[in-house]
Amino acid sequence: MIRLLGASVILFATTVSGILIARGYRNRPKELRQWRSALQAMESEILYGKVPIEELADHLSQQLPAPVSFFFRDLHRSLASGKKSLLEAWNETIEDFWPATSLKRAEKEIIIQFGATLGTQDADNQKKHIQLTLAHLEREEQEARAARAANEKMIKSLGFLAGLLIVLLFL
Amino acid sequence: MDQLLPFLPKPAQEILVRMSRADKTRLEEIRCRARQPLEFIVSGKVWRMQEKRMPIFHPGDAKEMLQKISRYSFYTLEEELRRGYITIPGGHRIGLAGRVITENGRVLRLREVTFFNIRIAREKIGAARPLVPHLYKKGHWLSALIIGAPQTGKTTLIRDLARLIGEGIPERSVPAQKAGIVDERSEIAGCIGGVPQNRLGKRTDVLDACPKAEGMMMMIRSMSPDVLIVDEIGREEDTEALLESLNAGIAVVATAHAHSIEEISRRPTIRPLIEARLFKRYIALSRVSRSGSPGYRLHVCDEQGRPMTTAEEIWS
Repeated sequence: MIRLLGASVILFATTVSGILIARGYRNRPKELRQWRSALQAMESEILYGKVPIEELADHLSQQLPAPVSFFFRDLHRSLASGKKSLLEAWNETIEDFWPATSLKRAEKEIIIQFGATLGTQDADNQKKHIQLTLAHLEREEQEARAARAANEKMIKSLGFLAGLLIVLLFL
Repeated sequence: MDQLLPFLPKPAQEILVRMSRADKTRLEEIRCRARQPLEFIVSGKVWRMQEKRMPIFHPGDAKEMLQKISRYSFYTLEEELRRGYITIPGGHRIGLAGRVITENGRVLRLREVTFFNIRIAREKIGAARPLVPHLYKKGHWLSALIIGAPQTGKTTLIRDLARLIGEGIPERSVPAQKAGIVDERSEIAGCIGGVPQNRLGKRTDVLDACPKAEGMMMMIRSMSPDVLIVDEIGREEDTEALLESLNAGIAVVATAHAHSIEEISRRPTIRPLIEARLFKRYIALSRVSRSGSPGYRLHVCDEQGRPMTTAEEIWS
């Protein structure tokens, strides 16, 4: 009886961790797509609406799905307090926000670099920077999709199978 | 004044905080030039700190200041960088100079902004009160031209006049009338996002940043004002638009740069207006200083330019 219980606990734990790791693979392309749509929305608001970043962040926090919306919500709050420059606010918000995402280091670099150019250029140059960042993110997204296709199912089954292996070894 | 502080570089903020209240209320301009000491103009004179030198305004400060003015959104300033000035909350204006980029010989916009002139807008509520008996007759406001050299307070006067017209003067049973302001340089209303920052009365409409000549016609067509208010007339197309609006039976209150009525009547663009006697009153402003307080003196003349009265007003 105890054995059966122990075996099922082990099996449950490994399966769950497999699912959690697989979820990272599933979420990454999704979040990358959210970032891309955030940037596209920014582009049109900057180009045609000439909306200041503070308001823009507020708009985006309402338009976009979680978790990207949280980033813009926090950015808006930080800017609205009026104590920090955009660069400081952007970088701090990214740092605070990062644990909640499934994105990797490379994406973080891209977004931080984009933040450094934001608001310092006229509309035309701003557009170029957004386009460049979009291209980078698109490349990352393709890579993330490939990784998802290759790994998501495998990791999920691997979790279950590893649990099974451990159980069998102990039996 | 407090709205101004966050835009200024650190050293200027510190000076302003320590400045005496009396000097602060008479502060007119803060000038910042890259690699030069800061300059504060108080009552028309350069203000000096006791036993201390003015701090230097560094090029880095200039960059930071522009970022703050644009609220970290440089692309929002394209229009302002072409015109060369920005209106900030409180109606203060920041004049800009630096390196200009051109296209086909026309100014595209400023690129490096290294010179700033922060003009502190000060609403003088009641500044135009002495004019009311001369300009308000039998339930109507008379067309008037306010003449003065730069910095004599023309805009301050016209702004308060707009307020009196749009608000009315209940204690003298002057009802509020529809005032229409064509505010080409955003100086009268100090609009931000189309909302006036200055007190202008409840019946006042504003066309912000609109070329005067076109704006006057737009205002007449769309808003049917009782009194039209424009700043700094003098170009040929202004005169045409003014002739039309004055003929349409709308009272116009305008200002013009000049030292005297004689001088302005020699200006070819304004002469037709004077000859047609479309302005019923001319008000000549000059600046006086009484025991250190700035003030202005105004001469009121009738439609033929004959003097009527002289009043003197001291601002505190």
